[in-house]
Amino acid sequence: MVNPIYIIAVLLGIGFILPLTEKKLSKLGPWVFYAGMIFTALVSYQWFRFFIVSGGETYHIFTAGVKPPLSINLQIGLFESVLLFVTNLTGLAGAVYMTKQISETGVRAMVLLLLLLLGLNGLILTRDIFNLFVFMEITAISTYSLIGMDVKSRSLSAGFKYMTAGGLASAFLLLGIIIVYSLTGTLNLDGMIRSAEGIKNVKLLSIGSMMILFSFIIEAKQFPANGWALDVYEGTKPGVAGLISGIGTTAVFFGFYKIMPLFTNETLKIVMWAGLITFFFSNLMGMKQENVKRMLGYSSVAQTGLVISVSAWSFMLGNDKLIFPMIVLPLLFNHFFTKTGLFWIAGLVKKDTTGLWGSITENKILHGIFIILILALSGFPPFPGFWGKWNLVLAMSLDSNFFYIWVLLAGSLFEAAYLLKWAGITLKKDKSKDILEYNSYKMLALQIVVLIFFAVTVYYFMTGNFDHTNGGLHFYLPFALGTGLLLLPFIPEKLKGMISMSVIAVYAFYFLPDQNGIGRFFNAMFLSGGFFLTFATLNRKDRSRSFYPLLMLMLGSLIALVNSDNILHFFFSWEIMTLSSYFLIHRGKGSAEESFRYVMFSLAGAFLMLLGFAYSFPNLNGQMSFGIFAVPGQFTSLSFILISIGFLVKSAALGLHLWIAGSYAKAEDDTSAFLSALLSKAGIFGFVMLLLAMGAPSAGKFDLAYILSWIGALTALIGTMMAIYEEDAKRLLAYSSMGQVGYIILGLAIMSGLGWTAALFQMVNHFLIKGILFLAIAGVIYRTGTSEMYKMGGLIKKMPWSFTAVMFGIIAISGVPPLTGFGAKWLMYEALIEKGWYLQTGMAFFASTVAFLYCFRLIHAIFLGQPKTEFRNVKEAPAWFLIPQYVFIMAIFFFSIFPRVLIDRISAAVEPFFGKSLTWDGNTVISSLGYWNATAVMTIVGVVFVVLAIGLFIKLPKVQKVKQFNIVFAAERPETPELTHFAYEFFRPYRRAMGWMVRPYATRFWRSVTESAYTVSDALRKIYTGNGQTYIFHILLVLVILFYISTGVK
Amino acid sequence: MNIIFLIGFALMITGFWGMLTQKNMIKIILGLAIVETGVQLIMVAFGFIEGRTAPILDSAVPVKKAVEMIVDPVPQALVLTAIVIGVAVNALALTFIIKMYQKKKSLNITEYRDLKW
Repeated sequence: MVNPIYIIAVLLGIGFILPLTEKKLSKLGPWVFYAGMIFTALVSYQWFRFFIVSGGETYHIFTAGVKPPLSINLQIGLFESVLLFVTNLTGLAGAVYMTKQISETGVRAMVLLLLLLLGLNGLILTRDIFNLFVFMEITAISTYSLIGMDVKSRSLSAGFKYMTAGGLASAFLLLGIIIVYSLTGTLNLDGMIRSAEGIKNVKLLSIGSMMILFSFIIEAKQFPANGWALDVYEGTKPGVAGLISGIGTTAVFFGFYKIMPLFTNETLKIVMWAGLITFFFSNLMGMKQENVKRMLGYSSVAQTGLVISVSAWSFMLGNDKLIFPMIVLPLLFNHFFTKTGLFWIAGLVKKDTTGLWGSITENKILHGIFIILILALSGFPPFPGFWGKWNLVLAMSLDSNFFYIWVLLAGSLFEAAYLLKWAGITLKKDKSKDILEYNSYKMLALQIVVLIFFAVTVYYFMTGNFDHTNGGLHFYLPFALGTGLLLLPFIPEKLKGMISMSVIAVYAFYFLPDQNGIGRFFNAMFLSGGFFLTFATLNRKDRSRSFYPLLMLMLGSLIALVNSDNILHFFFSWEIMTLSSYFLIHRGKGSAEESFRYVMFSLAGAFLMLLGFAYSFPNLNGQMSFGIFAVPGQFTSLSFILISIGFLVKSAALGLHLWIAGSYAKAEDDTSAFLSALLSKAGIFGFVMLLLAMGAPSAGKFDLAYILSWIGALTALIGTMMAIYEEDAKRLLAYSSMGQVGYIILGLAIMSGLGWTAALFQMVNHFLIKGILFLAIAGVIYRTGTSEMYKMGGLIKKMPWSFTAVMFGIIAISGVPPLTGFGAKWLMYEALIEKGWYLQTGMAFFASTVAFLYCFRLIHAIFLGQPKTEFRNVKEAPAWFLIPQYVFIMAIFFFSIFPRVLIDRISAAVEPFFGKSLTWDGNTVISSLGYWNATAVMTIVGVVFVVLAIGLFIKLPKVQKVKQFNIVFAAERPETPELTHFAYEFFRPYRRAMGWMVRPYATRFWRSVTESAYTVSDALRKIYTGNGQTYIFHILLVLVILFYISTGVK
Repeated sequence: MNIIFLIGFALMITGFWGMLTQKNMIKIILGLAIVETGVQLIMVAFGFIEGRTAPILDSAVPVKKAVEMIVDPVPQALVLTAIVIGVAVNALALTFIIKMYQKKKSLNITEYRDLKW
């Protein structure tokens, strides 16, 4: 293998030769330059392979033929080789990226890049602290010059600020080095660390190490001594900024990492919290940012802080060998590649403010890469950042450091907020056509980096702590279809839909029979619902590369959620579900704000859920199985509450329901059916799992199940109340959905066999009904082009099939016999009364009655009354919509006549946990309070219906047909349909009486929360005044604080 | 020896004072240079051993007796390197200032606040 010292020699050599031979070798110069770059990459690859494949021992390379302390030594081990390899490869990509700049500026740019790479390689390799200083200065000087190459006032002033900060950092590094040297008598890092323990003059040693620490805090751009860094990221050309943020930060971090063993635990604690503070505040300040490069700068600073914080913590635990590859490296890689990539994309798009980034959509590949990098940076699975954070959260919980997790997740949420907002802007098609310059070299460089990132992602995904034996195919397969479809954009839409449907069918055929209990029950619902609702999407005319992949990912994640064996599976699926549903909602017209709200609520919920997991995780000494919830631990009730909030967000419980109406309404019409019928059940499934694993713990005096029951009942009531005042059919259905899911939560909270049977029965009922209603409304909107109900009217004759479907739907939803809704409500009331929760019973009953009001509106405003002139020629909804509706109606009828088929299955799933609660006598179900024979009820209703129908048919010939305006109102003859069909604000009188119940209290509350977050963000970032002198002041302030802490704490 | 430390620290403080109070960018860089000089002085002071001579091997200091005769050579080597690097950085900073002055005709650091927040 080639001695890594040749990397330094070759880089330095070429760096010297190039300017000397500029004139003679003018054509050859670039070739020599790239050859040098490739050489370094190859050498580091060789070492990388050596350590990965043969797992070799760490190598020490001694210079000058003698051992330290007399000589400088380099060290290359597994970690060094990995970092060296990615650094040199990215450096090469950077050189490719700047090809144009290099050919313009010639030798100068090449020399600077070579020197930069030299410095970074040295930083990674050296084990001599003074040598570290030298390489840091080489890195710094080449970076200053690279920044200054772009001779503009902005980049120059940024470079100047950088230099003052860098100058101070190096001054203190020298001071620290000399102090530590004077105590330990060596400059060799290993020697220093070895002899540092025996030093008597602890005070001087701590001052020395504090100065080294201070220097690295500046170099690693930690808060608040980092104003200059943000200016550098903003003012520098993206090519250079990408290199600074990616390889520059990584090498400086690694230098810092090597010094850390020198620090005492007290100092490490300071580093740990300082890093976390940087992560938190930088992300908070980033939220208000609209300048792309500065935003990336904030994110870059934040990520560096996190990596440093975790490293310091790992040394405190003395567990650095394990934590480095499991947590630090994935976090570092995630930052490294995404930041380099995003900066470089910023160089291609050439738009400073995020609002103008719509033009990126012109280049599909670039846009795809952009979205992937944003998701990776936001910490979504399956990217390395997800694994890093996941491992970090669990490891922190084992260390009982819960406050750390809170801050970490809050910071992550801020980061996701500004990144997703930015991504959201690009997903909305921008009409203004900008000509993007697709410099092929820049694209090539970007693709190299992204390719390595994919390899890293695959590596972490494969080794990502999944329980392969148990999860296996069941778990992975659902994601495969969506991902597969994403890679086949050229297939016609209809074919994609059919492929999706057949894969769902095949999956159901092969895997469903293997499953059992509650999981099978939920999966049967998701798979059958997915199959028939996908049928409706075949009506689509537009080509889209993302719709079916996203739909299948969402469906797949629901199935994977049910199949999950441990908390990692569960959270992984949950995140994919959140993400895919966010993008699906985002596809709807004018949905940007609503989908953003949805994803922020969902993410916050998911993070709280993760926190809940973390509080329970230590219960079984680091096992990830659901068993952790069954073991009573210190934080059982807190864990329960936090996880519940995650599920309540997904179920749009009262107070957390802000997103529901907007996102259901703005999503595409066929998508809304999926959201309401299927996605809303994810939270329910979560509750089922949670309550089964944990029971219903009590927090102090409060029985949490009892509180949950009130949340369910109030959600049912208020959701229904809000639905009746809606003019928009889809918003009405959304609130109706909220109310109905409230019942399910109420049923689960009862924690009895009967309650759960009622809840699950209601869930199936709701799934079928919302499938019907949303598809029927989708059909109406498809024909009329509006979702405002008062604009419609009299559509009964134009769309009789849709009308019939809606009618059956509302009969079933309102809970009157003979359809399934009655069964659900009957079981629910029985369970509530049995439990003795009379108030909740009353409230549920009242809500159920109020539901008639909005049900009525669906029929009255849309289908009854006089047809409007503009809708005179509308046709029946397409068969694509109608067929699934009627399949669902048949299912409703089947379950209405033979509820035993369904109840038996529910009982089979529930009885193992709660015992038997219902007995059967033929078709009559008997509970402790009464009995119900659905078949008999259906028969009687059927007979009455037939008798009346026959009577009507006999009298029918006598009916006189009239024309549309053959009516008189109050002695006037109306001439327009608007005057005959009163539908707008139909329930205004009720609003006067009961409007106080639906005032947007929650909206106001959350708005003030958001606004204050943004205000704080804006106020905080004002500390970065742009004045270089203020930055110097910040730096010296940090010095004073550090000095105070490190000498004062003892 | 203590007096050299004190002078070193005094120089550093002076440098900080200059960096924090002077609006002129050249003066700020001079402040930085003064800080660096202070640091270098302190570094040399750390390697000083009472009654010994400079670590230069010539006729006055025979190689075999060098270990007992000279002060610690390492800090001196470090200081040399540090001085070189410091000079390079300061020179580069001054060229930046010249370029900035050519653009805006101002040496006042408060005028260069395009990048902020």
